[in-house]
Amino acid sequence: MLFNSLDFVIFLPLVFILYWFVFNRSLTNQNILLITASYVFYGWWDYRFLSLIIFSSALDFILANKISSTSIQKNKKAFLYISLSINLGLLMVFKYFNFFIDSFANAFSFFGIPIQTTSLEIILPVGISFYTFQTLSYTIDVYRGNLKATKNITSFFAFVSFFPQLVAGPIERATNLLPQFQKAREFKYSNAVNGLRQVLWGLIKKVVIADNCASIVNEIFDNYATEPSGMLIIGAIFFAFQIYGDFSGYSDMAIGFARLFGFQLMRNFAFPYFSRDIGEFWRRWHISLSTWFRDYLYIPLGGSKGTIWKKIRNVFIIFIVSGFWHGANWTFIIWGALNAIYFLPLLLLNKNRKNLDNIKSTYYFPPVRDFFTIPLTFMLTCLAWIFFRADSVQTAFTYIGHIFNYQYYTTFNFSYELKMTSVLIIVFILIEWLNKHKEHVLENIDKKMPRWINWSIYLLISFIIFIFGGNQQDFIYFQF
Amino acid sequence: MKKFIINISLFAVLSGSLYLTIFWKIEKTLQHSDYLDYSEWNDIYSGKQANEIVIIGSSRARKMVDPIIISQNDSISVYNLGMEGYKIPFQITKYQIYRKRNKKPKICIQIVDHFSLTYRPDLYDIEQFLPYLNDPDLTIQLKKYEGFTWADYNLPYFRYFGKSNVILAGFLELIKLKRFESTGFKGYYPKNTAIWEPAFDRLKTENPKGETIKLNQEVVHLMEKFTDKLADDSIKHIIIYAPEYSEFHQYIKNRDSISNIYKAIASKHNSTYFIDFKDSTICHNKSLFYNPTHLNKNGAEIFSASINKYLKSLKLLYD
Repeated sequence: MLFNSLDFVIFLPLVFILYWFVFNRSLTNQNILLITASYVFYGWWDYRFLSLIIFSSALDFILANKISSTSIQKNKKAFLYISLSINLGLLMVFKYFNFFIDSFANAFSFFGIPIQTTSLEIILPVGISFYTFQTLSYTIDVYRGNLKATKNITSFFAFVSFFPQLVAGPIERATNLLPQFQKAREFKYSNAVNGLRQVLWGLIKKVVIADNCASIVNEIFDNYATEPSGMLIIGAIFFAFQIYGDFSGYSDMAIGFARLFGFQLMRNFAFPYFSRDIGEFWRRWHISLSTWFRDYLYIPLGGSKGTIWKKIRNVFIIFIVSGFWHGANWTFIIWGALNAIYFLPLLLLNKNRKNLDNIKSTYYFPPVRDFFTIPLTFMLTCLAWIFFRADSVQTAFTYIGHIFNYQYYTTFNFSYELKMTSVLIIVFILIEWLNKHKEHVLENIDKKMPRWINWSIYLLISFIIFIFGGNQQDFIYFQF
Repeated sequence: MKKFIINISLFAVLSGSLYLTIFWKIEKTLQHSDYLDYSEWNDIYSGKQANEIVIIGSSRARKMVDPIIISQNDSISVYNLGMEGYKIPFQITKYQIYRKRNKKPKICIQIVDHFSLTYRPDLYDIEQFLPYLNDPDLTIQLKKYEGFTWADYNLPYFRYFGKSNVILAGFLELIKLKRFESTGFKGYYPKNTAIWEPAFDRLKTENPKGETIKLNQEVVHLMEKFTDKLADDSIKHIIIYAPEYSEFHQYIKNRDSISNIYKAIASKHNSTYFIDFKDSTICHNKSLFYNPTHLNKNGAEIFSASINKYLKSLKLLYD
């Protein structure tokens, strides 16, 4: 079920009413309702994969309790490894099996040994990378002693399957979300309204920005071989906004819907395209994944400590693994490696943690230095996005090659869709820029203005979504 | 919670009422607008059309048959119902909607080609139907194709979702800030260009051996039934195979057998005629085409004059 579908428009109020008015007397009943609702939400795509979530939840519930109950370090480690092997094993089978088979075959062919391989027709279960990482973090945290294993099975199953963030994050930590399932939730008007505002802005990002960019980007990437350079540049920039609108829009909606049920999810995006260097970009983009890799991979590897070669190795590992997490394709690996290359100079010059502050809300016009660093960071990101979006590495290189090839410097038609989407993006950037100090654009608008102005803004946004909404419905990150 | 429910309900009622009012007004405006193809659909739905000749077909009709030339300087009334991107089934639907609401024509000219008897599952240029999606005659046919969803048919004005160009055009006309004018005349939209589109050159390299067009037997049957119906209604039916640029002929392997089907259908009734332009002299002059299957404005004028000449020779006009 998609957030931006009519099914969800019926589903959400129904669950909301049952949650607050029918099942509100018992925490366990509320959690059971959330599990049921989440399974219906997920099963809407393909009910067969529900068994995977149930299996993953049961496995980590049992193993975490085993880890907690034993005092022998060797046994603790063994249980952790079982969890890691099975969870990552499932991810490998469903997501990466064909990739490895094909890559091995290609490697053998390269050395003149052609081998016959059989690829399996495997359907990737929606959201498997997200909930696998969420359950893994729980087991690792229990193993590290950061968290006590829960004995409450309903709260744990609800934590793993919570429908707002089940299929595309934010990838929650058990330390933040699990305790929220173990205590009574209270309905707070301000929290719920703030949640709805965030949903509204998320819809603008997804339906107006991402979906309109999508149709243009698809057209350009499908015909990249014959498109003029200018169009290819537009394709790369529009894809940057498509993926931002699509993914951060989903995260905003997820956080907003969770607020309606009394939950507080972690922030996943913090205006990443206003970053002044690539290090800052990665602290603002897909925060829940970046911090996951930082805490469970980068720091255990030694982080930025140790010899210079170790630092370089760790940076490459984390970025390449991050790229590989997105999908079983060399394009994602190169995308990750490219980001590592962008990041290395900052690390080696010890400037990777320079821009830790938020860009100040008080300045509406950036200082001279930021006036250059922000667009430069954005352009580097766009260049990397070409690999992310392209079907193959060769396509990405040809695409980039054509951008810089003067033979493709020809004029092109500025269609109505192109003009309209460009205007929408410019207005969108301006609004985000003016509200960059907030958690989301519409946060706290009620505190400054009378109610009739607020309601007029909500109405205007709703009409903009209706008038300028694009056709594409699916979310990009569902495929990861 | 009470405050939340009240505010949400109030907002839903307010926004819903505003939405229904605005889109009701916009749709009413579009039903009198000349934006996109609305002038033709509005003419059809006005019920005031009294044309002696109607032309039906795809873009071959819409871009290549000039009602003024056919009408011999307005001595008779002609209307072009050509639909870009549509095959025979929906061309007939448009004719039937026209026929139900307007005066019976004396002659129906149907422009056909090698694609006409095929089937296309999707709707092309769906914006043209938006203001008339409440008409059951239209929707019953539209539902046979991909394009509109359940919500488009059943939720009030939901069909306008994301159609910013249509909504803004309707809104601008509603507040009288702009009046859109049709770029065609009585359904005729010639393309005034001397530039040859590159699509054919791509086709030649991609498919050098050409292709055999797969006909849809249901469409063939529908064409036969349509011909029978026109004969029953005492409407003269002129089936015209449109001219195609000569170099293109070899790329459609079954051109002759397709044209024989039309010939066979036409032979069943005395009131049905078949005129074959597929190998006419126009076909050899590349400068009259902008792609292998479409004449430009100059070509369309010559073609329309030729149709006029044939109609005269058949003594169907001005008798």
